[in-house]
Amino acid sequence: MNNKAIVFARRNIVEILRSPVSWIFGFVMPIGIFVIMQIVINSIGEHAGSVPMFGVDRFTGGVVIFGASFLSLFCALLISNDRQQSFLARLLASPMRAFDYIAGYMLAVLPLAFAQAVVTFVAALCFGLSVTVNILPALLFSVFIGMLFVAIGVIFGSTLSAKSAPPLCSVVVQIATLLSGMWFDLDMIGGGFDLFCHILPFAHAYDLIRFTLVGAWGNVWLPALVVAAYVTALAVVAVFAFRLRARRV
Amino acid sequence: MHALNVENAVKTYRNTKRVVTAVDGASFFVNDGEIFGLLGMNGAGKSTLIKMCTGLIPPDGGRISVFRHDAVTEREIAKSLVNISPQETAVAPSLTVRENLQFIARIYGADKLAAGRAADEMLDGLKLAERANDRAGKLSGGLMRRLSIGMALITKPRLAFLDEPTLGLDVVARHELHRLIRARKADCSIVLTTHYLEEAKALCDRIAVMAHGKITAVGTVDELESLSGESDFERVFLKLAGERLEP
Repeated sequence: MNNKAIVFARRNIVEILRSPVSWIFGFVMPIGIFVIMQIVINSIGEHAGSVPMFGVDRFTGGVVIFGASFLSLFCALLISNDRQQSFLARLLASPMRAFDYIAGYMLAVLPLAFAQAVVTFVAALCFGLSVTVNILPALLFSVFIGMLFVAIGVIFGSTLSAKSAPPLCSVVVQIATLLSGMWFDLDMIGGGFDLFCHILPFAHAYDLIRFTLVGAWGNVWLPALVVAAYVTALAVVAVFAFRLRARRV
Repeated sequence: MHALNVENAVKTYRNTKRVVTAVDGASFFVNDGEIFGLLGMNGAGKSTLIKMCTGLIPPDGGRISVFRHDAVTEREIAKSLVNISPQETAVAPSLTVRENLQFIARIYGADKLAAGRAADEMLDGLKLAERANDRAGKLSGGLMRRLSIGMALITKPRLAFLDEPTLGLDVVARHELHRLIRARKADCSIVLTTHYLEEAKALCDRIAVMAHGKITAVGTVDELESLSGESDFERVFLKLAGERLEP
């Protein structure tokens, strides 16, 4: 990794962390979801125990997806603002290379993905998640899922304006959480909707975390493979979109 | 040696409805250590020409070289010799004034210590030392523009492009900036675009007038005056740009 990419990544981290929006959506909201869920469970009372969706081991996976989906917003906002304010033009005229830009944007968001996952799992432990060694691989997979959303963010940031990127990223957040199986059991719905959800990566990302947390290793490989395929494909599209945009400054 | 050599540069944009030739066979050179003005009406092609010279977009035809390094085939070398202050105030809003300067210095290869020293020097030169720890996004438009120019000059480029550097600055800030630009002349060639004709006249060793993508005249103020047959510089410019004021 060269120095320019690291210098650029540091700048990007500072830009993200100095925005209150990042703290609210990146760290406060995932904790808020746990709090809301606890209130719901308390309201339902003893019947909540019979509903698998309310199990903290399942719900944690959903919160990981929910939190990580905001990484696409941070990344898209950063890139589209850099474009709009001609900051990107200044950088493109500098001796930085294409690799430095992509690495700089991605490297900046991945530590945030890790920090966000740590906050999510600490919150989950506070709300009853069992302390097991499975949390460690789940943390790593969370960062891996973060890469999925970072790639989506780079694509949106490269193709959309600073005005249109946030609402469309919000749509991604909604779609990701809705179609991940976080709010309702996809197996119970079944049929075409279940199939559609499993064509997209979000349900697999959710499965990856929940199977890892319970140590169901035999079930982990398929979602891991699907998420890896999506990360690779979206990263290639992201690099292509960014390079295309760079030629049209 | 020429700091910049532009030979018959062409840039065409195509969309579904029409083809627009933004730069149409422009040719000129900039001497080492020269302040060179690029004047033209809005849409004349100045910004497109600067984008080509700084390696942001490739020319469709012709050749551009920076200190004899081709802007396309030796792009990385050419880019290391150049810096730009774009028309928009291109700063990182959440970074402080000092952090913005340090960041650009480091992107051009300075280590942390050297970047810090260069930032302090530039803060003094720009009279921004008191605002060093303020976030750039909180600065007024004029101060932000000053910072933007500082970011273009902090890397000690051999050729700097300043696209409308004094736009929106008050008269004192403008004079400060003129002083800064003149002080850099010894070790830096500067290409600047401006709509303030008096500024071009006062700062530039030579001026090129651009109209409809073409360079219509290049020379010193005296040469342009004699070429146009006019003595008032506004009239000189309008005549060479092929424009006229409605009575």
